[in-house]
Amino acid sequence: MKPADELDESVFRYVWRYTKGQQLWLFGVLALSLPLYYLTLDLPKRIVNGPISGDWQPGQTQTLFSFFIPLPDFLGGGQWHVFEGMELDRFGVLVALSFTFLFFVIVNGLFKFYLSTYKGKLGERLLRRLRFQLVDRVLRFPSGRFKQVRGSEIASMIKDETEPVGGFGGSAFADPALLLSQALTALFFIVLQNFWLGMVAGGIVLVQILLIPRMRRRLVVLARNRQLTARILSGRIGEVVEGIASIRTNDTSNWERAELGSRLGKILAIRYDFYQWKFFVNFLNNLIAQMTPFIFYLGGGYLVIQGKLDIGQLVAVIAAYKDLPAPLKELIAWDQGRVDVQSKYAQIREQFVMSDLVPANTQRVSFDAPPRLDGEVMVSGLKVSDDAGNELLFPTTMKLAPGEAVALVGPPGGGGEYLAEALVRLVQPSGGRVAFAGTTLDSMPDYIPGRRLGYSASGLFLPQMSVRDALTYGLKHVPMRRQERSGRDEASRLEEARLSGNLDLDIRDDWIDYEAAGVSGPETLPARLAEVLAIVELRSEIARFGLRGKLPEILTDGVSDQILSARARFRQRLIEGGDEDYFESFDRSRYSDYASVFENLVFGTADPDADADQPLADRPSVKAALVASGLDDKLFVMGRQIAETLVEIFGDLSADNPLLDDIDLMSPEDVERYRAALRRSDGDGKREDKDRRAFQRLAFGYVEPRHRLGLLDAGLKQAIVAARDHFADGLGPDLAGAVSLHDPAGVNRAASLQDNILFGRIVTRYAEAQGRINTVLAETLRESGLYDVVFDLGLSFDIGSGAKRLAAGQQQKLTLARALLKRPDLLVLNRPLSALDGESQRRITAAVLKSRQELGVDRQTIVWVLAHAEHADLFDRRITFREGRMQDPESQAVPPMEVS
Amino acid sequence: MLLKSEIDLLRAVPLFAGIEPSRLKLIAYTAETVMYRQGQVLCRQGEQGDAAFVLMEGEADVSIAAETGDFVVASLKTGDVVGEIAILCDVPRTATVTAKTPVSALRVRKEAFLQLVRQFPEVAAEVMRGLAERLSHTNAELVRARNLAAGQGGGR
Repeated sequence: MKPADELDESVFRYVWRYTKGQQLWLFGVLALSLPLYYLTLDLPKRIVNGPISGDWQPGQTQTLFSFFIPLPDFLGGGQWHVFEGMELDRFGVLVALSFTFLFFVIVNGLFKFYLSTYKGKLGERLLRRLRFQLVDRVLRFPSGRFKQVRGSEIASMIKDETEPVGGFGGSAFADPALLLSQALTALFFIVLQNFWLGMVAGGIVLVQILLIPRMRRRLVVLARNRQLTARILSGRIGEVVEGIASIRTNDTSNWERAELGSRLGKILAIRYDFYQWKFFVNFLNNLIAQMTPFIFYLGGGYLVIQGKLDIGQLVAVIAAYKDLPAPLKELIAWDQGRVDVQSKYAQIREQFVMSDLVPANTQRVSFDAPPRLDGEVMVSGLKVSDDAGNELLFPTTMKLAPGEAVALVGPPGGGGEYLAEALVRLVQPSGGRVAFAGTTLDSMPDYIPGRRLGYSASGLFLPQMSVRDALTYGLKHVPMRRQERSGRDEASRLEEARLSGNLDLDIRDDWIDYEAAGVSGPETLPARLAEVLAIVELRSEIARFGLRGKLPEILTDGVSDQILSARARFRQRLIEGGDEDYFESFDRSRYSDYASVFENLVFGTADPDADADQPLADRPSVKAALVASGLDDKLFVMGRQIAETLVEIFGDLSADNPLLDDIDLMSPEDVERYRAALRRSDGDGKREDKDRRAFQRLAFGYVEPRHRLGLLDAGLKQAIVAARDHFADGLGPDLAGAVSLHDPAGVNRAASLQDNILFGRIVTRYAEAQGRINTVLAETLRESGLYDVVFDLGLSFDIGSGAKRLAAGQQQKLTLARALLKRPDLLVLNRPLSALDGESQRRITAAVLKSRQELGVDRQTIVWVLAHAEHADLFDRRITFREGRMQDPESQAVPPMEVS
Repeated sequence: MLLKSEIDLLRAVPLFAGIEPSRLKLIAYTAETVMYRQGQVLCRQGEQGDAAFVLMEGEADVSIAAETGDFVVASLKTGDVVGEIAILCDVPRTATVTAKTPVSALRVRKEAFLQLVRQFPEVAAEVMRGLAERLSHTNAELVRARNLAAGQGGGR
């Protein structure tokens, strides 16, 4: 039997394999609906021939509903008497038959509704299964395969190209069955009415069915080309995004434009060709279909005139024929879809079927604790080659004793890194083997090396997640603490996962293997995280993220109080240290010199991006407050003075002068705009409202100790402080989100934790102020017990897509900490800290070696590929690799002391 | 301290004497005022420097670390310029400057200072004159030290 994840060559076999039961059910329902369909064809004839144009004597009655149903042959034929019937007159018969017709129309519609819903669901499940299978296969690609594939192409295949296959799944068998039987029923009906008319209809149908698909074959070729070019395009776009640095630094953006443009051109040509052909075929198809009624009218009309056919029959034939093209058309469309899907499916399959896929069993789910790999590590005759067969590592034999720390040194590409990769099974050796206490690495399922070995290297990719998730990623093998869930949602989740062949483990469970990290549970984990982060010297940086980052939406109970008490404590400490002049607290009744005029005006802070959305000076509640407090003119005059000074100072500097960057209150491009605005407002002429706002904008940003233009006197400060009252009762809708107010008795959610504790500004005029404040802040955090909160916030820091919000060195420290956290039996590190300076590398190396005691893994073996050979003295043993060969330990031993 | 009074002060500094007022304003605007308490250090010998200082108020000592301990080589007063060597030739600070009284200084960042030297020959000449003066002073000291050493050596 083939394994459950088989991708059959034929899309039909694939669909049949996974949806057999459902397809058979569909057939059943379909068969049930056919007699009803036949009735909707038959009834009009009976209505026309019976009550409408039949020969009725006055008072004549007819027995109806004696269940005189002519059953189709395959249901046994003959008649079925269920009901003895009722006597009705002409009008009664008309009403009864019409309502019967209506009834069957509705039942027919309901059947259709049920069938399409069922098919849709079936198709969606199939799509989910196919996508899951493809994702599963990506996870099982052999390592070498990843060098050849482009991530965005794979993504586009799994996401977009599978879609039609899913849609097709529902209709693969049911549609042709339904449509064919409908068409045949209609044809059969026509033949029953008149043999020759039936033959004509059948002949034309035959032409359509044979000719049109043949013509459409070309469409399939074009569709395949379209798919290929589109896939390559998405791969190329992915490359442009990844390679933007090279594009910018080489000015190749126009080359890329031309290249992408030519691809788009190719796609257009293919698509255009496609549409032309498609519509031509459609035209032909319609023409043939519509010629048939012409024959019916002519030939059928002739037969009626001749009296060989009655009018009711002709009407019924024409009505039946009207039903014929629709299923035919759909049948032809289905056939085209089939060929299209078949080719798409074959293309996808080609990329995902390979002989050397990692066996599914290797990556099986295992809840068992893996055996420890703490025995001797035996490397024998291990050989690594590249794709071209060049030897990267010549046959190497060595032993690693438990608990040994070995340094691999040598130039990049010397061979040590390949040994390291082979030790954690990242490369497939071309010869030889690695064995842990007698068990070869090759034979182990992933769950043993994946949990008992640790690995870090420079440039490991980190997906977008929080620091905490990035650290614990190495502990998430299976859901360790499963939450009991029940009810309909859970049942349907499990049912659906099973029906689509997906893994049914719940991503919402707690997957962290606390035991592996050496802690008892979620409560003790943060301390361990802090420990490993401290080893790699990342802890204080993470804490800084927590200090500078925004506060979370929801603060746990007591944290607000802790922040407020820390605020008081901080102030007290400053005073005790005699440093109160280094700091200026926010005070509702006092002007804050180191805050800008706007911040003083609202007694709060503005979102830095808010002004770009809509100038703050232009927002209604600000305008109203300015006018009401009489500041409108004063700030305008002040802004004008600022503009005059800045234009005077910077106005005649050339545009490339670096000093222009120091202009601060306005951007260099704004200088000319303000010069023009100054000219316009000269001599107190008419003041344009726009200029007025622009000048006020300058005034808003003014900080006296920084800009030192001497524009704020006591009176003005007083007026600004007084104007705060306009904002005291809460912000208007125009400022919500743009401004957050200071609250001496509360926590400001829009500000960082640091700003919340400081609640004021550092007096930067004092050279030492910044450093001193940081020290006092750190002391305050420790005393107030907020350090844990800060660290926790830091752990929640989002590292960004590809960890781009972290520096290269921080990324490397993070992946190293992740490897330490899982406390592996063998820790393999492949130049893990190359982005750091030599001194830091040495410090962290020593700390990692020493950390084995603290983390409770004394017998951990460490293999470290060093970037700096001189750090090898920290290790038990040093092995040099050069040009793929391990250097003879004897020849590189310390030369004997010179005898003088 | 406000821009206006800074400019007045700068005008009194020989280094900036020949520069037109609008340029002085630019220098003052792009510079920042920093204050030091007594005993605090403006720059420390051996550290990387990214700014020069113009003393606006107070006094400071320039000292060099030697095996026998730090010794003061110069005293600075209002209007003196210090710290330009490190930014002119990208070497670590050659001496430590310590505030003797509370000091207020204008901190001119490296880029601004270099711009100034490049654009105004008068400033360049004045910087050179100052450095030359210090060099001749240093030479004299060296001669004195050599003589002293030779005298001691002869006495042995």
